[in-house]
Amino acid sequence: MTADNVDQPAASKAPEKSQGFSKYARFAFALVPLVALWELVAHARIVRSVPTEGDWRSAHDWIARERRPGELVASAPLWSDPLARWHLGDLIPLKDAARADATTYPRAFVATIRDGQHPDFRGWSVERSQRFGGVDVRVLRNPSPARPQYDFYEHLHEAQVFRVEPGGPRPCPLALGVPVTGGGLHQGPLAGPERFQCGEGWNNVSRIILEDLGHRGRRCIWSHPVVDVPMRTVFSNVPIGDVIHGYHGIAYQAERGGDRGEVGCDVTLTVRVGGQEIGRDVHHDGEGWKNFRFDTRALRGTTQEVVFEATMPSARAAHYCFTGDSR
Amino acid sequence: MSAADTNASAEAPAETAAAAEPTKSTDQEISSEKTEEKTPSEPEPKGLAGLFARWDWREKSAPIWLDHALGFVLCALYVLLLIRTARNLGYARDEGFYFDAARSYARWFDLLATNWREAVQRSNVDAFWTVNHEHPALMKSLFALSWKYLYVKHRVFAEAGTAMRFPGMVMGGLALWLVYIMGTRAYSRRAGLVAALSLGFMPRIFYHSHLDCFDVPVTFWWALVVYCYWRSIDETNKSALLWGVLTGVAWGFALNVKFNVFMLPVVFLIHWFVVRGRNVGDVARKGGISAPVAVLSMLTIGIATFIALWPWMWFDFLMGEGGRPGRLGEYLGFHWNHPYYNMEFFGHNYFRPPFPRSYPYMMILFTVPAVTLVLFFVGFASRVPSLLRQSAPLAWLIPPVGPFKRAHDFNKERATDDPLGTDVLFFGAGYAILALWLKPNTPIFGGTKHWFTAYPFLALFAGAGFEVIARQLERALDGRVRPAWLGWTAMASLLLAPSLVQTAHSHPFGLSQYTPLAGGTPGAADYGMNRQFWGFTTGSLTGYFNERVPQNGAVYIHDTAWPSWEMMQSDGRFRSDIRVVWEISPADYSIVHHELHMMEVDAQIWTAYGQARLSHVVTHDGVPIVSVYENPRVRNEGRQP
Repeated sequence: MTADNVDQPAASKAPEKSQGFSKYARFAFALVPLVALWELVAHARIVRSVPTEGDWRSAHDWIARERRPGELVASAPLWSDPLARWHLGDLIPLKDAARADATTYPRAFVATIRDGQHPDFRGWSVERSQRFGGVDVRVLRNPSPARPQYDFYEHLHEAQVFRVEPGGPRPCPLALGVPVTGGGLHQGPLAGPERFQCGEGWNNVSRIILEDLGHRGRRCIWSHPVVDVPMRTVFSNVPIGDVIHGYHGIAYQAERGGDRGEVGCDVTLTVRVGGQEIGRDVHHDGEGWKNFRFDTRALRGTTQEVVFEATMPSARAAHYCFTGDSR
Repeated sequence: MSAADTNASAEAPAETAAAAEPTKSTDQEISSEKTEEKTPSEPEPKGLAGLFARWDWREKSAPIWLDHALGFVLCALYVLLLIRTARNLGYARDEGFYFDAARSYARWFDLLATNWREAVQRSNVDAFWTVNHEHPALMKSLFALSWKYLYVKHRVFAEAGTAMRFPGMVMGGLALWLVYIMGTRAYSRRAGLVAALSLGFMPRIFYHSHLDCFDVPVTFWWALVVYCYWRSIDETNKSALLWGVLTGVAWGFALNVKFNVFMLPVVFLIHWFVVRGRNVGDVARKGGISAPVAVLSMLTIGIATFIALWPWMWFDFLMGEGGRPGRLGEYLGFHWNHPYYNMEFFGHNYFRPPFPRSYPYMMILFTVPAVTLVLFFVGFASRVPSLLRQSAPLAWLIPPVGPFKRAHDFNKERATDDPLGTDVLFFGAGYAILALWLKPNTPIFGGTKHWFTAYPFLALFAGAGFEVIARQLERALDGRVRPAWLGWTAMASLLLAPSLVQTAHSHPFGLSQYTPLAGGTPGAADYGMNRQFWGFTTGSLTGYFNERVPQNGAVYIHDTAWPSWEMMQSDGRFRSDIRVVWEISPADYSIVHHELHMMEVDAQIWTAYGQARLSHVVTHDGVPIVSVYENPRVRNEGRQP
């Protein structure tokens, strides 16, 4: 059994003028051990650069001292979020962890590792930073923090909910303390313990946390419509500002579709203030966590009834929710 | 076939002549060094000294028993290492399913031992072999027998799970042995040694070698079938026919491990066509067909072995009752229509086609130690001239006219040609599986494991690369280092060190491991690469759960399969009073295995517990692997473990 030999005695056949090069080329093999050395050193550097629990603890203590009420604690890059919720967990309430966006916070304390960035803070200025080993806490200032006057998510329990059937709106009664059941992949968002129950188990309006198309947890109001039967949520006595600002989205699993190419469907959100439609926005599959802003300057300073109505034209998995505020 | 044999035999003397002078043409410098060390007039030492005198690390060689002894030692040490490192590696989803299947098959083996006539009845075969019949029988049968004899009967292992895993570990060890032998035969002993160790200490291979799964076993069987075929086409070998038969037998076994070895006959036919193109053409001109005996053996003995070893296939093989598809069709259909699972790659969660064609190459780049890849490239580059010569018979297809005559003449045999087309075979057998990902609908959910069969050949070329480096080193040292083996062993140690260090560091997070080229595990997290699958990292929570979960408390274990948890508990890794619940709210602790799309479960827990705070995170190099949520109820009620 034969195979050609491994080495190639090319150097011996090289022309004379390249002898100078060949003199060094015979040591070219040393490049390979250099790769090995680089890999060993790089590996050691990677392992050594991991922030320690002590680093995180120091960062926690400093943030706890420096932070004022209403300021956000977060981390960067995005994948470090579980680390922040572990080490800084007492400083990150659920409403901050599952925020719709960061526009309402005046400042954010961002525990940053690996010089990571967080998309929520684009355009924010660095006020200062403090390093604790591998954790760099950056204090970021929001150039124009919004001042919400009314958060629809927070006031959901004060709302009225209707399933708008062809014969007329049917009220959905509010149930409190309902057990949160289920859990697991492909089950979609779990309904919260306070629910306006309209029909089958899933046909309710409740506060949920949704995994959006970008794989982030968002707190929002579950409002899965029935085909041609809108889900209507009515908030009374809402102080009106310049805009109704909000987001709507569909749970990741439903929005992305099935692995055999199944698709979801559009959901239309219509917003009425004081009986007048001020805007509507259609959420198409693939748009993810989608922002809407409807101008309410004409009614600024008044107190009005605000109605959100979600509609869909065909029967698909519209694991849909919205949230918003008047600002 | 007969025509092929006749032609092959007619050429054999010329090939034999070439084979008899394996290294003269290009190994002159090395050969001269050897003659300096030992003059021809010196008598050949006898006994053990004689054996070692004939032992040359630097030349390719037909392995002797000492090579197999070394291969065995490699195998045994590797298996021992796997056993010693198994306890802190949690059981993966698929392992759990195979535990169940193995227990069922074990009961059938009991019946077979006591009443074989009953055992082979369809009713009994169906009763015991229906479980997990979407995968073949061989490994699960070995898991069953290992569990039955090495745990239940003789208590060789302290854990049932380790006993189940043992056959898979042995396959991992055998792969090293085989690669060493192949490397020795193809390039040199030290090339074989470096190849074997490079394979064993690829971190992902090391992880999968622990499991009672099929991916490392099929890697061994794939390489073994290739080895048998390689030996079978050596007409200078008196046992070539036997090797041809063995190729079929080995393929039958391999088919019983995993379906992807179905493609091997095609690989061999292509290889045959490439390196024996002259024969193929000559025989075709005479109206015959030239094919290797091995392939005929595969298509007959191989298929028969496949059926014989898998009782489920003994009935309704091709067609079921009422003309419905038979069990073979059902089996193939299952894999052909397999659902797509999720896999994160550069920040995107892929769950349906089209999948990126770059996936296997980027994953190889990011998970195989860089030095192994560099050695592979050096080795492969050094083999390109040989690859071209071994492919020379293809030039027979070029018409010998006009400007093409010179190209056609490349077809002419040279004394130094390798008639076995070793490099072509290694390249083809290695690349064959990777070629599947040229189709963008080939699933990527298996991470690297689905192309493990390429790795023995990647490692072999890396071994060839090491041989190049070692020879360059010896030239540079010019005999200044004594003993001569000190130089290359030091070099081998340095070149293998990154693989060893990374493999040791990756354990027990083998699927989270990425090399420094990716920036390690944290760099891969930055890039958005998958961190794990199969939910096996629950095994890293033994200390936390055993300490924190209240007495008779409940845990929600997310992606961990029930039989995997059950085995961890029965093995004594988790307290026996800890209960598993499949809902979040009733659980005292709920976990999330971090894969991109599994944020869904985080969100569910946030709703159920009304908080996002974590009580613990399992990390690897600072990257979250498993998050643990404590139900606020535990703290409110002050329940104690």
